[in-house]
Amino acid sequence: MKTGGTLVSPSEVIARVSDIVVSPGDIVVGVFVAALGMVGLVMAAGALDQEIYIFGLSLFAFTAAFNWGLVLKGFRRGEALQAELLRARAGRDG
Amino acid sequence: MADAVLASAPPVISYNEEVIKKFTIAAMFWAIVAFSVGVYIATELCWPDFNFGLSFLNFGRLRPVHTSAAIFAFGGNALFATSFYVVQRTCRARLAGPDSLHDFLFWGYQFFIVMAALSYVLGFSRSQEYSEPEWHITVFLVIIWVLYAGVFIGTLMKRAEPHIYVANWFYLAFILTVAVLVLVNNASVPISPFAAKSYVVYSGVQNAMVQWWYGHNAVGFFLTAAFLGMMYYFIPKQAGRPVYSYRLSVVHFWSLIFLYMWAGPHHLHYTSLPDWTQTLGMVFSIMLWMPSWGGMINGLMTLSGAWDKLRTDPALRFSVTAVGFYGMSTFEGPVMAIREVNSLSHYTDWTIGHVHSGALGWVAFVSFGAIYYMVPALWKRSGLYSTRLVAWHYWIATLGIVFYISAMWVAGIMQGLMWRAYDQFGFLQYSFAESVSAVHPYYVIRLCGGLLFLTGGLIMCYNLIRTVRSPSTQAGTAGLPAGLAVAGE
Repeated sequence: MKTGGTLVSPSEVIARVSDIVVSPGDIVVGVFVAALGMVGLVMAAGALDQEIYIFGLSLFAFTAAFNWGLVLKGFRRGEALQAELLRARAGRDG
Repeated sequence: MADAVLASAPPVISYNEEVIKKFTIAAMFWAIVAFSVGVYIATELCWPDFNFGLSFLNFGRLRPVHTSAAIFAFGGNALFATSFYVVQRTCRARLAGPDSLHDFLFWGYQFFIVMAALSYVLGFSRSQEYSEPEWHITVFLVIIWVLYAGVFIGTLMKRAEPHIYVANWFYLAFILTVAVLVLVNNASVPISPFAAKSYVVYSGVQNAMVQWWYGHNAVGFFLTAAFLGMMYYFIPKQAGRPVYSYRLSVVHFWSLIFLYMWAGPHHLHYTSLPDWTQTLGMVFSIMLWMPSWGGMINGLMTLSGAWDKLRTDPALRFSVTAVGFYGMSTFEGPVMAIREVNSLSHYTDWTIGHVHSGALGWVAFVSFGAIYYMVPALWKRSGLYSTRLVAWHYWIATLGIVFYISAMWVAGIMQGLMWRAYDQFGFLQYSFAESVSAVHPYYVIRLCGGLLFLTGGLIMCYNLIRTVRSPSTQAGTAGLPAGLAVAGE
């Protein structure tokens, strides 16, 4: 697998995925928001007027941006947790 | 001994303050938008050429942008912020649900506001006052509102305090009633799931009745009950005094929510609505005076023994003046609901003056007071950047309101009298155009009032930004309590 121009092994990818800290609540919210985004896309696809077209596309963009933010926050939480673990390990090892 | 004390101390609860910060920032942002659009459409009323012939700048399209921005965007965000602030602290519990849900509430509500404003500007509207969004936007709002109710009620249910503080009763009444009002008044059938146009299920006078049942209760529960919740938390906090009478707060809560439900028909005097229904609305409106003033008295009397704080804390001045305006507009409202008075006031600018004494004097001022209190607390600052700027804001905004409402009173009564004047032959003495021309100077005065209010809002924004960013307000730089200045004096 290639990420950022360097080859990464699948085990590393799995390790990176586990860097995300997400609660079951976040997953429920994320799935719900994604479903709303799908509804937006369907509305835009079948729109009979300008208003529904704009609303549908905006809803999709909004939900995509929201879920992007949710994933980003998950990664940040994971990084913060890792940093905390490293600090704790450094303290323990002297 | 010390260990025993520590063991008995309540655990430290980590409140979700990030979402409150977001709603507070949004409230101030939308306040400026609402005031600016208000000033712009006031300019259009003075000089109609200011629409530049562009459809999206038309008064008819911008007017709902102004009202929705003021009520639902500014007021709504202030209510989200304060309700989450109050419910967590008075229940000693973190908001129910994951933080991502709270974030979705915030961003979803902003999305609703932007979509609604955009649709008005594009010319899509249900043409029902304060209920303009078409069905698809309303459905989205309903989703947000149900989640909001879930978070608020969930927090109440997991509270660590045995008692539910009265402010939460007011917030809860607001959340539940607005849900019912929106669902009933927006009952409509879309022409297609892929078209914005829909038809209301009610027709004729029934539709008018449902609309004004909704409209007046939007005033009653969105703009009154919820902001009373704000008052019941922030005035005692700012004054450092307990609520004057807790019993009175409970009595006026139940009487207020019972009576408000019946007052809607006073918007439909002299229409095809049955006379008895109009009289019912009128009588309940007059009865509403008592619980309304119960709240006002309770708010003002809470300051007993702490009136001196008005000299040192201009943020408290906002809250107390708001209660004064609340008392005034809840006296004026029942008077205007009397059929004979209504025959003069209805369809005139007196109504606009009445609405703005409530919206600017009560809703905006009590929100300003709460936000001035919350910002240093949320951002962990030692105090506001400048109390002098708060005082400037207070006096400029108060002057703006006085300009606004007195101009509208005069214009409205003049319009009413001109429209009903007959000459000796029984003909109308004035044409409609003459009444429009006569009110022009008062429209200019109203514009000046609006400009002053907007200026005050901008001063507030500057002060709050400086409060958050200035090194002089960093926690620990002074031992002054929130509300007192540490800089800018």
